[in-house]
Amino acid sequence: MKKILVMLLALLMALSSMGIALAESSGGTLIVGEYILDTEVANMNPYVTAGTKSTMLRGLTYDPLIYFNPIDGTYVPMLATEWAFNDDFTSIVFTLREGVTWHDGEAFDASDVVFTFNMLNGTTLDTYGLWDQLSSVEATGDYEVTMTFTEGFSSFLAYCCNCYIVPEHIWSQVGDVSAYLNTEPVGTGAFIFSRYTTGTDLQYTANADYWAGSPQVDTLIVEMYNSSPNVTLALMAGDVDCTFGTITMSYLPQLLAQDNLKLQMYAGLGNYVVSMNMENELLQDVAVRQAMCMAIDQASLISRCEYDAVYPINMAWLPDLFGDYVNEEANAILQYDVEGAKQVLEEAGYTLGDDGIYQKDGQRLSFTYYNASGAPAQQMEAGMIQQYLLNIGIEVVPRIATWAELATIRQQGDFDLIQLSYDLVSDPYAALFSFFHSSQTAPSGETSVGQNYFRYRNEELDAIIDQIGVETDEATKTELIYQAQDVIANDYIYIPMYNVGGHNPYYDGARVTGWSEDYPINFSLNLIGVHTVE
Amino acid sequence: MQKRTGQMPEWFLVLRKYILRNPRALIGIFIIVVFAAVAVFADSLSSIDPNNIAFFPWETPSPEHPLGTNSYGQDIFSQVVHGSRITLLVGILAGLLTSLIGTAVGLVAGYKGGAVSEVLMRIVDVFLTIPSLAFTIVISSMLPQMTVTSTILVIGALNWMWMARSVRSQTLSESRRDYVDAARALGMSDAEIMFKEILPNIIPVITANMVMVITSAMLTEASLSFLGIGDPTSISWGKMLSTAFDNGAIIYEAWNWILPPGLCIATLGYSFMLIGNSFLDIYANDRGGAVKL
Amino acid sequence: MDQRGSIYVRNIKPSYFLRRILAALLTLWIALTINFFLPRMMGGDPADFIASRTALGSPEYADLLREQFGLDKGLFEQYIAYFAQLLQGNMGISYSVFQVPVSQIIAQALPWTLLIVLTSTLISFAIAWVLGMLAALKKGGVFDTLVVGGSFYVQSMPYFFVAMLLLIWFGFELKWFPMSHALPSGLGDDVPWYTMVGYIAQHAFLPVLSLVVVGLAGRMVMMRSNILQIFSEDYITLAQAKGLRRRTILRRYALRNAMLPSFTGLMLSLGTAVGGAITTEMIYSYPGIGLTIMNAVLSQDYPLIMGCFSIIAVSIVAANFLADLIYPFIDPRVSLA
Repeated sequence: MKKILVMLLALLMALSSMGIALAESSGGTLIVGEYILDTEVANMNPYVTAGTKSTMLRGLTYDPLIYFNPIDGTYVPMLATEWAFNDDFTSIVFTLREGVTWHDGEAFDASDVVFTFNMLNGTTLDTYGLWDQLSSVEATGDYEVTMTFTEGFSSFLAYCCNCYIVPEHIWSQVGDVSAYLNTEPVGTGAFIFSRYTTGTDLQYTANADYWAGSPQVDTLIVEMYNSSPNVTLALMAGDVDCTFGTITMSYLPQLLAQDNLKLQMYAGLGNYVVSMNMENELLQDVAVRQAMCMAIDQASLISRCEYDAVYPINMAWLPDLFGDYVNEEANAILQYDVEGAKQVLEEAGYTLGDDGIYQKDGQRLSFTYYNASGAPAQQMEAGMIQQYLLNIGIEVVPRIATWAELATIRQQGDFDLIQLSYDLVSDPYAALFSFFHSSQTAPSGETSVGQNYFRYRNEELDAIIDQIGVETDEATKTELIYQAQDVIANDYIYIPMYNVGGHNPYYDGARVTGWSEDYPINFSLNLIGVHTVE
Repeated sequence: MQKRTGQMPEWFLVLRKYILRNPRALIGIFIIVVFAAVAVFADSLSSIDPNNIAFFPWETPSPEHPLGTNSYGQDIFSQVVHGSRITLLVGILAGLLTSLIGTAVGLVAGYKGGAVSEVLMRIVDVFLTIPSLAFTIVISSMLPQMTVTSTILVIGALNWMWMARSVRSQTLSESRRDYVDAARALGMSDAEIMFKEILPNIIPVITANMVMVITSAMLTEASLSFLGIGDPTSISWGKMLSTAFDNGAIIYEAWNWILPPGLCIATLGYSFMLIGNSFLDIYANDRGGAVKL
Repeated sequence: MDQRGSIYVRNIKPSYFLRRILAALLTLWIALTINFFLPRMMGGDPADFIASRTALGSPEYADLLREQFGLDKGLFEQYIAYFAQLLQGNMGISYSVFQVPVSQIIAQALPWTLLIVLTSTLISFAIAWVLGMLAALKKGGVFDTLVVGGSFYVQSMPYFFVAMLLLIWFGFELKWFPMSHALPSGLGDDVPWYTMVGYIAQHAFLPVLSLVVVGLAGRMVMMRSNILQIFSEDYITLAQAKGLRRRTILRRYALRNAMLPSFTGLMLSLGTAVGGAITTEMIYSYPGIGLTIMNAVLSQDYPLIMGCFSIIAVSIVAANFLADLIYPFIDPRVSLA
């Protein structure tokens, strides 16, 4: 038995060592480990994205007109070198980069951009509903495109970053674009897609003609892992050079102890919060909401569950990458204070019942709390928050549901409390409007129009937000945004948890080096500088 | 089985044969009793709340924390001790539910034969075409909330098919025995024959099946927890393993976290298996050969 | 030889086949119908879910998706469409992998699961056969006690626990085997077939080993009792009375008869095996059908869930049908009424 096993082992090793002569040519290979599933990459149409991971990979083969750099909150020129809105934000002119070629050698020009945006019109590919506000996209020169909007659309740039430009000469031939699988993607990006082995990896070769310069590695491989522990384990073992996405936070101390391993951290556009449903009778009392927010030891939550690799978010809603738009005073309104929280409740007329739960007029402060199933980290966080709430005499009835169900529950307002992240767009007006404007909600039981899942309605805030949308003077606009954040903060609409941005671990100097700290490591302008260690 | 020795009542003889003079069953029962005692006296064994996150994470075993702490700073010993409650509860209750359905279906299908058997076995076949764990996952995600009760019901309702098949085939061969013909000649009703004559004779087979399904119910609970679909509020051994895997117990080489829950499941399952198999062996000896489940 | 003949010769009527086929088809129809309704009973709405992940939760977008998925039609209409498609071998379009045919996703995943499930089943069957036989020959001996006791212990371990331990030890610590995937990354197009076989074997080793370890025990105990059962049959007793040694009897008569029931058991246990593979595939990032089902459930991909379940249902009904045909040959006490 043992002999057979040993022989089998030897055979296996011999067989596989014959295949060592893999793609190991001059420039070397960069191996990216990703928690990404076949379901997310099988369709390579850049407008059909299943989650954020696939979006990230689109950026390897395709370029947008502009890129939003989350590290400094600025827009980086990509296929567009310049852009300018008119005074009332009803149109924008893009000046395009000249001399760019598609992977198949054809030249890129304004017709490709015009084709791409017009192609979205009226199809499921227009995921942001851009054509609700776009009225025309026209070439006003070989390298100039003018877009007009039905009304002022100052947040257009934020959406534009996710619109990858596709080649007209290929996409105009494919028929129904929303059903096009794009199995051999041709873009203008830094890397040319070469091979996809299901469940294993995606391979890319360097685009030597890339407009920002050829990538220094010859090959980029994205290894697919089906859980975050698995990809983190591969990173620990040195099987991969970096990862762009989810890692298991509890590995961090061990990871950071590895030689040459660095962690890139930046605030992002995801806000993890516990949303409160304003249509719940008990939650309509701002004192209850304030007490709940005060009960949470956010610092402990972040260090225990996220190993300090995320940034806290606060009551002002806008995360750090909004820079000067963030109202720090509004953020500072909340302090962790258990006794203070109880005091707030008592002052509002609540009395502690025999069961240790506060109550008023026979109504106990007890709420259902939805959270994701199959997500141990989230469940642990939920457990901590529930304990914190219990500490101030508020009862929580935990419920779990799949991510899919949670999405529906949140849209339908079928909850008291729900722990889920919100994806913001990189424009302050859009980030406030779609979450807090009363036009963006619906009564509980009906699907909400925008993302105001809190069912929050405040005419004062509506007026301020409406003004932000049309304000052209920068200083006044900032002042209005501050006012809006003050209102939001003082109303305690959600329990803040943390901001989900980037926490990307990468090896620098082990097998590869040359990373830039100015861009996220998954951005093509960063990747083109990476090279193998001599 | 029908003859009597001396003055001793029949139940005592059966008890003596299957348990008192059966060292394997005695060992099994002993282990189960120990675990049951741990479950009952969990709060006195470990005064620390298993959910309490007040301690330092990744502590190695110490007098204060006999098995150290996990990545969240929870006491592992307390989790193992309290986890026995859920695992035992789900295992035994789901196992009993499975046995109840399995025995009833198997007995009726085996004895009645004909159209009744055909319909029942067709239902069994339909259930068997669906991979049980995957089916359980779908059902679990359908429920508004996964509680211990719903875990028990789901596992119990979806795993009785093998038992039904086994009981049916045993009933089939029992019903060809002389005592059944004799009972029929005496004018006993079908129900009487099934439950008063055949059932007592196949009890060892049922018990053996039952302990197997208890083990498999415990394993299913562990798998569900591992996949993140169990009761979110309770701590079971499967959930401990799941948290350990998800939080990198592997790279911290935290054997004090990985091994105890896994070995507890295995030991408890082992004791059930011991009992079941020894019953089968004795039963088979009586019948002059082995009986397969 | 006469004794054996008396067990094997059976007069099977065509009507028996017909009834079995009809029963199998009926089972299949009910199973497929359950498959259709099951995912629709899960909470949540796939269109809302996809919209929330890609389109800031826009309800108009969700409506557009619902139309594209055919979810805006009545349940009965969807049901008819489902069967009509199925008859043409078309399992629909995946929701989560938008526009990709379900059959394509399954075709990519199924071979990997079959590889590890069948290989581990065969290996554990072979080992179980030898160990079970040895244990049965010396029933009650030291070897028997140890092997049976040991298997009970291992059999009571969760699949994923064993997989985890093997992963830590052979994958992470010793680095003997890859920790994940079915193939190495960075494969070119011109890999010779023998290298490919080597890769596949190397990557499948740990998943297969973990399935063998846990699956072995049950099969072994079953094999042992099958052999003991055969020893108790009249014809063996007769042979023993004739003075034949147990070993000779075993070789001449008992083995084949003992193998057949475990063979049918093997076919029937395939469904369970696929379920058991789910956690194993999770731990080893192995791109099989178990993982596909799990992800389909989590992302509420109705067509994909239905597709996976249908494929499994069809294979199990087929296996069951074969087993039904074989069963009467093995147990002389069951008639072909």
